[in-house]
Amino acid sequence: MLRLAILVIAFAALPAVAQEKIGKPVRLVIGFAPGGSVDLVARIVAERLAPRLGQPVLVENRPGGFVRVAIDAVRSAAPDGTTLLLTSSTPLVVTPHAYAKMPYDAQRDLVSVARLVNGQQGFALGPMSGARSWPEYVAWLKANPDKAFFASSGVGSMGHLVGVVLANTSGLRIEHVAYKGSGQYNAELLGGQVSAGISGIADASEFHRTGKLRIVATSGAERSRALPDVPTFKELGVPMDLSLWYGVFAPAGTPSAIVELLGRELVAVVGAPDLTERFINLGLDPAAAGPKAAAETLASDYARWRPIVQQAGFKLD
Amino acid sequence: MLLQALAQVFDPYVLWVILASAAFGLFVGAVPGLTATMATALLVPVTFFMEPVPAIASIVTATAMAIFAGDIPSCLLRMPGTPASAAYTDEAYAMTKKGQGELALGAGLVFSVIGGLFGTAVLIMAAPALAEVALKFSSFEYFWLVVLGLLCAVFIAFANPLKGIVSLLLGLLIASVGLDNPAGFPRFTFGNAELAGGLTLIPIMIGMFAVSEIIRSVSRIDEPWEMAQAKIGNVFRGMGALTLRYKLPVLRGSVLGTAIGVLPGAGADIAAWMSYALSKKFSKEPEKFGTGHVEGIIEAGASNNSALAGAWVPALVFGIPGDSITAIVIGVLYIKGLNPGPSIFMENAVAIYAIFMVFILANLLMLPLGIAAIKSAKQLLRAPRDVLMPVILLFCIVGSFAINNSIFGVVLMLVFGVIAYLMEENGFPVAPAILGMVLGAMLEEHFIRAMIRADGNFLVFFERPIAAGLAIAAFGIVLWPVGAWLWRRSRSAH
Repeated sequence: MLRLAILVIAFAALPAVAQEKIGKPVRLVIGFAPGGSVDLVARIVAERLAPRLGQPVLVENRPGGFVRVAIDAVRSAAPDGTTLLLTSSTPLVVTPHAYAKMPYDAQRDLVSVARLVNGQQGFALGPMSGARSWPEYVAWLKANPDKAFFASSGVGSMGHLVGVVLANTSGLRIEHVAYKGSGQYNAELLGGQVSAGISGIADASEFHRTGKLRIVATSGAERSRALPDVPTFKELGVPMDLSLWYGVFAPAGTPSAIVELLGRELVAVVGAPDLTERFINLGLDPAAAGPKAAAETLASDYARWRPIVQQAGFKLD
Repeated sequence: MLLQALAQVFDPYVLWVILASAAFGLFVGAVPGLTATMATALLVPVTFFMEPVPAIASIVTATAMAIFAGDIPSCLLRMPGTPASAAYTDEAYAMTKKGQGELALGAGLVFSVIGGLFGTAVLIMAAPALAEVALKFSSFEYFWLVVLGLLCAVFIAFANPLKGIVSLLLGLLIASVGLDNPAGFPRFTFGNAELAGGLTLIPIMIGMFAVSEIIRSVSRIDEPWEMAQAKIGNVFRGMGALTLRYKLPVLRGSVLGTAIGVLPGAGADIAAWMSYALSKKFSKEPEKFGTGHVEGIIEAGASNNSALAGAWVPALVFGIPGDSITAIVIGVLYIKGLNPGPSIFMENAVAIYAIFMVFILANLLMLPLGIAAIKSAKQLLRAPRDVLMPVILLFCIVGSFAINNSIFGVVLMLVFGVIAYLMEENGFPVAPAILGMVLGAMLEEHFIRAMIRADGNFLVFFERPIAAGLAIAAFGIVLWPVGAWLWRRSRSAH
């Protein structure tokens, strides 16, 4: 209701917008239901961004279709900087390679505004295997081939892909079981129903800290600042450098002055020292960068993921 | 420690927050299309500025109010405010038409409070132990639980099982649209991004219940309006007698609701449906169900509110959400330094006790505020039909739009309004279709997940003790009527 009212007011005020100022409330669209880490980051960013822009910033949840609904809403919105997409990079740089037909092209339909944080995937063990490290788990896996499953938060999620790459590069036979969101599979991991799970560090770090789950390896090139005691797969002899990032995007055609302004403010928001700590607690490493760097990361990531996805045989349709 | 917690709750600022959130929750719940989950999401940015106890208090209070308030439009206008009230929407609306609106709403209110208090008591006394049991549930058990929920609805809750099944299958079909299925394969999407996202339940629910009713009302404009006789007197009259008369259903609803709420994979929606069906199964007068009989509302109303409290058990003990509301709450808990985990009861004992007190307070506050809401809402029934119906339609449109801020929601609402009208004119109940949509995705996900883990061997579905028990119950429901029919036939043959 409130959002609707604001929308109505916003439309009424449509014409008079100065070029370098956002003249209307900003909608920050995300492709997930409330509760996950993208939602949490969006709400933190929205709260800090609003006073800087002098406009309300509303988080709008448009879940469904692997972020397709949210992307579609943003790319077809007016390119004036008042409708923004906050998403992890997965649907922009990974998912397109897994489908033969894609309705969107991130580099054509969207403008990069800012890169916010980097996120690695963690390989988490529950109590089922009794293993406390990657080598112990590999040994257990070989002794129990009938229980060789890993959980992820969904088909096409980064965790799923990391698992596929892991199986291919390590030669281990381990099959994927998709859950809907991290809450569901964490319950099964904790309950000893499935032995391992791969998801964003954020989803398991609190369980790791309290000892309920054990993250034995991370997927990135370097150790995550959130889990400095956990080795990377690379250190463990499994060649891997997979991570994602969260970024903010605007519809293609948004004036560059507006994009620059939003990028500047977002970099300042993420760079605040107290937020740095909050992001690290969420398992995310702050990596703020403006429009140009974000666009470069988008392009290079898109090209980098293509062979990885294809070699992994990761096809969804 | 208890005194410290009391002092935290009865701080004037905290009380003010509770009162304001209660009013907010009532408003959100009473507007169809705005859900308790949405109320929570809207509160999150506000909680950033609060201390931990008032922050959590605002969410606890607003959600409890919203779930109850969902019963008001459901009962008076046949517009369920939340999926949890859809199970008994038709029953409550039938009561309103018979002029028993006050009884339906009063029962909804009083037994929501009782169920909520029961769930809270369980949360306070047995959270850690129950959470351990909940983790024993895996896809095998959830699969049978969903099957049981679907069968309950079809074989028990409706007069004509065949038409019920057709309606249920339609719901399951609708649930399969989109990309969000275990294979990530686009189904019935026709290259449309909105369809790829799946068909959202809330607009469809509003369409099937409310819009179909509006169409029916328009098509019979010459007949006198039956709602005109509906009156609302003292909401509490007869509640004591009802409690005594239906003490077993209230208890059964509260126990089942809490148990289902505790499970991380099932919430208030399925709890309300199973309770409604159980109520009919064990009722002394099952023939009255569906004609405006209060018994099912009592049991299901107690059930969905107790599930709300039950969902906090895995959330507090493990940081695993019991439903979509606690999924948001867990984020807030972390931000406020109240990290969920078994140690939360030691490390943050004062705050936890304060939160428990808020649960009790919120449920008690529901009584006076609920009456006020019912009294003001009943004025609606005095309005002439030619004024009321367009206004309801307007609310339907707003609610369907607001759920995803999308015109697509409004289209869905109108299309399914027409479909539901045609179904009901031909004797097909719409409620099983709604249940099919609520549970369809769960059914498929758990089945596929379990089949992958069982390596395609269906027998594994019967190997685990809890799964086997649920399976036997499910087969029992299907085979019981067949057995009874054969028995009757063999007797009459002699």
